[in-house]
Amino acid sequence: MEYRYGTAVSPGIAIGPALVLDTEGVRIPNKLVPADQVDAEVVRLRGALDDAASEAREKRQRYTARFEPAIGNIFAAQQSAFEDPSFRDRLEHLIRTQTYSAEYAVSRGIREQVKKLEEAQRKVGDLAASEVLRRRAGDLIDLEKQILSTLLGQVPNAVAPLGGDRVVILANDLMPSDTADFSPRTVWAFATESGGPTSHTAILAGALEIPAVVGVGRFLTDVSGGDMIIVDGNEGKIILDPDEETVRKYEAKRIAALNRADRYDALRGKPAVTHDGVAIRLLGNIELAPEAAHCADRGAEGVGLYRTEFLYLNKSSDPTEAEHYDAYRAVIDEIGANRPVVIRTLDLGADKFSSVSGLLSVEKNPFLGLRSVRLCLRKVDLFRTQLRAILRAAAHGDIRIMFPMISTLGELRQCKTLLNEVKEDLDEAGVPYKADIPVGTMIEVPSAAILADVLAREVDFFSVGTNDLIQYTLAADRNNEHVAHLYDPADPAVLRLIRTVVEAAGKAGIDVNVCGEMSGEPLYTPLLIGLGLRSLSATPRKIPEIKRVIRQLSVAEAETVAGQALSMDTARQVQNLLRDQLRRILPEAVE
Amino acid sequence: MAANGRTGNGETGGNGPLRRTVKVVNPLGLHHRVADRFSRAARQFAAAVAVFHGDSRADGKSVWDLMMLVVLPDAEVVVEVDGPDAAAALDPLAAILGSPGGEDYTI
Repeated sequence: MEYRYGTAVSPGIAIGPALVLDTEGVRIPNKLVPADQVDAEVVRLRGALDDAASEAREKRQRYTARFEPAIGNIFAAQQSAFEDPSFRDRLEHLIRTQTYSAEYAVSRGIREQVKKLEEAQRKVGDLAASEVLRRRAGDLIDLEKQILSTLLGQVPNAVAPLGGDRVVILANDLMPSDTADFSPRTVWAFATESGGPTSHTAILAGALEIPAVVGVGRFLTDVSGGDMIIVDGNEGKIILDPDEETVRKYEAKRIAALNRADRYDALRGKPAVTHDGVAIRLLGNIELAPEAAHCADRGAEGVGLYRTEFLYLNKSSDPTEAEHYDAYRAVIDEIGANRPVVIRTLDLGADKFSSVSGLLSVEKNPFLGLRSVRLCLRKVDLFRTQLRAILRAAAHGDIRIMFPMISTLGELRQCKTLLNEVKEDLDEAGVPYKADIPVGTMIEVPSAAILADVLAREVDFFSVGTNDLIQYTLAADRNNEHVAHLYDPADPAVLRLIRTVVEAAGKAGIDVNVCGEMSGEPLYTPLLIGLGLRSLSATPRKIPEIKRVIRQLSVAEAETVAGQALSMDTARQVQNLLRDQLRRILPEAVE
Repeated sequence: MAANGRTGNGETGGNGPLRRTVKVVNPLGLHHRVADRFSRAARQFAAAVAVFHGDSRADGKSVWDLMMLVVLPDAEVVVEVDGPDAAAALDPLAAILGSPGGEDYTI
């Protein structure tokens, strides 16, 4: 049994057999073949190695002619490896003694060596030597990939489609093409070696509500297809080869969570109204159209934040207007034409990366750099494309538009000017769209919060993005372990800014919503309502829990909590206060 | 398997195996392409060729074996040749490991 730690990106617990995808998403088929197929399997292996060797030979000739012998020699060396009797004996031995499939023998045989290099890498203190070893491991994985693709190419049927038993998907990272067919019916969980909270895998897992842990570091060399594995998406760990007791313990946790979900299910049809009769609007945060259905399922009134970055991720070109439009229409189709959908324009940069050409250069200080709306105002064509699609889609539903990362009034005005220009273009072209689309701005930079009264005159609504607001207010990156402790939603400085924003919105008579992670944490629900918020937007799975807190709370109580919190000096004091409150209101949510 | 009777820098003559300790000065160590060049050269000789690194032994004619020695830059290895043309093989083989540009070869 072995524990590995990564970043928890989608909560939940899963226990199931591993399905290992290699870096290119090739499924490594079953581990074993029947004993009477061993000879045939050896023949397959030899054929694949011969093919891989002749392919390498051709490449060597081609590249030597085009470049220089040193480049060609890379392929010469690969050819030698494929032809090497010692290597071949080793793999054939694995097939004959273990009845491994050819694919599995290749993977296992090579990964054993990769592991050896990784162990050596851990031992050397020297950075240069470590890099030398890392590159060698990369060379070996490249060999593995080539042989596997030859093997799988020969016998395409060796790759059975996903189906039957549910599996835990393990991969270096997942590409959109790998994940197209994944669903909670076929996949228990994901765990990947690379990737962070904003990686494709993380976003997808969140959207599908499949437990996931990313950024685990190299572990695929230690797992074989079919091995039992536990993924703990709550705490960001995976357990390889768990013992029986551990399986029992996690199975109990999993069932407890399912029971909790069932209990909240009963709340679906009930309104989000406080004890003393004040209605709170609950909305969902989404990134993909199917999640809009989750919002409706969980009793959300609409979509409070539709993040559109996913349209740009992992693509070789910018999304077209049609792609934008189709995506937005799909959300309307999922949730219904009369429910609000707040579309946030592109918020790319800093922690989110795209392969969109020429978009991002290396910045010294990306969080204070050309990101989000700043990027859009620089890449105006890109921005116009999105604005056109939003305006057109808005003709078919209750779509609202929201600009992220606004830090000055000038920026907001530039965005609005551009929006008006796009409207004029649509008018001229005679394309139907919604002229009076509500326009809002995110409040996530302290300057915007401080100037909220000024910004409020220019928009129809505010949405407080707490993640960035907290990070910029406290100048602390929560992903940086050295300063993460400073990042605290309960910090009195943050609370004062939120209060300022809510008051400014109230005076101007515009809506204000909170859409950061803070609004999805039951701990902060009484505080936010006490601060005057009547609209919260959270990840769909959190909505029943938030609703439960709301229904057991009175506004008077909430205001008392907020008043006390605002009078406190430190985040720690506020945290203690909020925990005490929540323990009273919803004991099972406090752990 | 340990290199029994290894004599460090001493080169034994006569009918026994010849050995030489070589410092691998290639900046990437004994990596894939150096291993390839060495094994190709070794296969030109009738003599058995082995390379020792610590407690590990590699067949000098196998690129895979050589790679699996995990030899880092500036590590010392022992090249052992045993057979009729051993005397002719030792110098060129040792030179491949002992020179900085071991991967720049033309086949």
